[in-house]
Amino acid sequence: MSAVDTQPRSMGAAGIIAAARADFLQRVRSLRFLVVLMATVALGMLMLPTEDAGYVVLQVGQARGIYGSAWVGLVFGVIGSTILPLLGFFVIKDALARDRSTRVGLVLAASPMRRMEYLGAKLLSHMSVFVAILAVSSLVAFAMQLWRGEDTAIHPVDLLLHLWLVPLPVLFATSAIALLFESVPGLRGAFGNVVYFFLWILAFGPTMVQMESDQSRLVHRSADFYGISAPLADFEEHIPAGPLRMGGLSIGANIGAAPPTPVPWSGIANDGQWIAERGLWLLLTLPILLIAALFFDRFDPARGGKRRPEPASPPSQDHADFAPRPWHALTPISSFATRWRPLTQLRAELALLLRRRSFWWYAVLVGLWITGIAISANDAVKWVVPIAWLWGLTAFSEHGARADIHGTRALLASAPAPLFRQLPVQWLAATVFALVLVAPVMVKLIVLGSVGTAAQVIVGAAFVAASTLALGAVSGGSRLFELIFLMLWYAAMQDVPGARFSGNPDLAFAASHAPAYLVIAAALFALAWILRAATLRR
Amino acid sequence: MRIEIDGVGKRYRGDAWALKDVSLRLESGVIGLLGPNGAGKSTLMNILATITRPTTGRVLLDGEDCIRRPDTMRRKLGYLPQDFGVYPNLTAREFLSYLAAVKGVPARAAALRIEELLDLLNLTSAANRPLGGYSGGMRQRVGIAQALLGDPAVLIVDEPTVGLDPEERMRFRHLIADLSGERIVILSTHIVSDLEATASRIAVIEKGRLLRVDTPEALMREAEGKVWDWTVPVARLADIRQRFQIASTLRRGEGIQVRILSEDSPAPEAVARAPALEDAYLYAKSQATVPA
Repeated sequence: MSAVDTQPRSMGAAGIIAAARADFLQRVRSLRFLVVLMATVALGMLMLPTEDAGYVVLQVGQARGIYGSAWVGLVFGVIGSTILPLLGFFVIKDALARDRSTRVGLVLAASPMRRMEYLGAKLLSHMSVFVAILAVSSLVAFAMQLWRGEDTAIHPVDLLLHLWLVPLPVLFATSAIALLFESVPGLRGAFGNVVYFFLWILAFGPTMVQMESDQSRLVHRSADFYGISAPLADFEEHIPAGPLRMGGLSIGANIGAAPPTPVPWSGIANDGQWIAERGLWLLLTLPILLIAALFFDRFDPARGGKRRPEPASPPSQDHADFAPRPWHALTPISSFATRWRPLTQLRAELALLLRRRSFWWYAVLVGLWITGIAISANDAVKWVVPIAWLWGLTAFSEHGARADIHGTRALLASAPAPLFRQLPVQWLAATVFALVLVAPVMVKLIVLGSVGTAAQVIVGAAFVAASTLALGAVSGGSRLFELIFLMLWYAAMQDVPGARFSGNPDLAFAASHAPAYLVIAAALFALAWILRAATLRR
Repeated sequence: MRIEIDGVGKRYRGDAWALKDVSLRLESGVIGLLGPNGAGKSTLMNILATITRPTTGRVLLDGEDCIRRPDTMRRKLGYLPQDFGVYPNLTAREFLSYLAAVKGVPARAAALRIEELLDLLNLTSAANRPLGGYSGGMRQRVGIAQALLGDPAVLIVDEPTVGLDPEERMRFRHLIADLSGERIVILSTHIVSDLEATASRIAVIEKGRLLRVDTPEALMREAEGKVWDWTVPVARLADIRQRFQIASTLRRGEGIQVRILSEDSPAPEAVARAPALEDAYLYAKSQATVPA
């Protein structure tokens, strides 16, 4: 007897689209998506600054394009290609985690779904988020062009081509990288986010070097991944010879820069080579997705590596001695929970922060301690303190949203005085943890009598602790804190004015930014308090 | 000790009432909340555990308002929510130590109590393993342990036997029976057999309304003479489902044995049976009308 095999062997295109649609709808129907779109509108309104705004977003030499359709599209496109991949990564990187936590992944894993089909669906879902952001950006760009009024002639092709074509390959790659990071066990969490942040910084560097490699020009055209050298090199052609061609290329918020001179530019919408290059860069997505598929465990819990089979219990415990011990045989605890025991609680919170880290985590920490002792106190504050806090990022970020991440909110909320007793101790624990990470540096500062600098570091620790609690309460997760911490950390290491939250040994306490960070820390703590209180009142 | 629930209701967005006008007086012993999924049991449990604030009504513990002053309840409470998480990198012992600290149990007393609870709940051999590797049943036992960390005068357990195997379930029932006495134990479940051995009173909830509060004996007494076993051919089952309220079915060699709830005998060959609690619960539900 023969039978025709009608069983589905894979999801097929319809299945992929259905899976992508479901994932997208799940995202769209969240407050976070609305916040992302509102932030897109808000940031979009800052893209075309007026002359007296005090900052510039995009300039070549001493010039920028007149705010016509092509330049407006290019400004949005360049930011979409350079900044959005960083912010967007933190927004989209939860597709697999969500299917894991909701157990939907197990259902999908039991279906004929293939790895590449599943990842393809998630890629489409990621891209639909980016498409929504670009669509909103397009509307804002049109509106801003009209509002600024330098050139009110709308050329939709010029605006949309630059706005979409510049970032699209980068956003596809970002989507695939997010899936790769979610598929590789070690990169799923906060550590992966740190790795991505530095990857993002390092990847853009060579492009900038390449663009500025030609001494005779401001921008050297190449087939760059970010798609910005061709339009910017073309724009340079339109800058009149002379002082406007002095200087370099500036992308992002260049605060305090002199207002650049507007120059007419009609864009490169007719540049077939550039358009073809952008199309070819889209292909980069495929190998990244293939690598992700190699690592993707198809939600097999046995591949997690940590879970061990439950050991067989001794018969005396499990079956033979079936009658349980009587409750009244347990040692009674009289009037429990009538007193607040902050030290016991602090010890428990610190244990949560410090325990169960890998051998290498402690080894690196010891290395940082030794370095902190070996180098000068000033260098230790400048380098060891921020690096040690970066090393503690995974612990900090989880600390701020631990109850939400692990679903223990109800257990904690039913304990006595959950707000008054828990939040201050959690803040104190994170502050102490931050100081433990830099303990030898603190001892050194106190021994050397640099009390003001030590106080700056303590304020920095308090600020980091308050940040994780506030941003954890705002977002219900750890990624918002990770993103903001990393950006601030990088700014501090680049000596951006005011960014040295971890202390500046060259300045006395009063002259440093520590008093400001102390106020910010207090405000963040108050925010965490208000948001937690609101949660408890539901 | 006494808990008074007075006109409690909870309205969610879209004017959807998960619970409406529930009034109940609880004294020491085990009260079982019985109702189908989505009946409002967990909402009532969350309100009693001070996790959720009611839209209407009040809850008094020995005359003190627990809505205005939730710590009145929290100081005496052990709570096992229906869905709860654990910190996967901590061991059971570490996790319980952490929660004991949060609840304010003195460290030395907590250490002793944790060892006793681990033993009581058969977790000693796994106590030093990270919770991330625990099975569902083991995690549920950790949840039960944390609810018993102090000497809770009020114990609220929501679907406590979910994920437990039959032996663990029986062990838990023993424990609950042993725990009652001076304590108020509120146990929510949709598994009637969980309550048979333990509950001194049963509250039947459906569609957010309290339908009935009574002792199991009274509920069963009411269903006496209304429970019938009738063995029928498989082909007749669909027709019988249309005509009678069916409590259960059991496949037999000669057909299907159908347990029917009916005021009168459904057929001459049907045999009257003594009602079990499940029959009594279904009968009570069928007799009550839920107001719109």
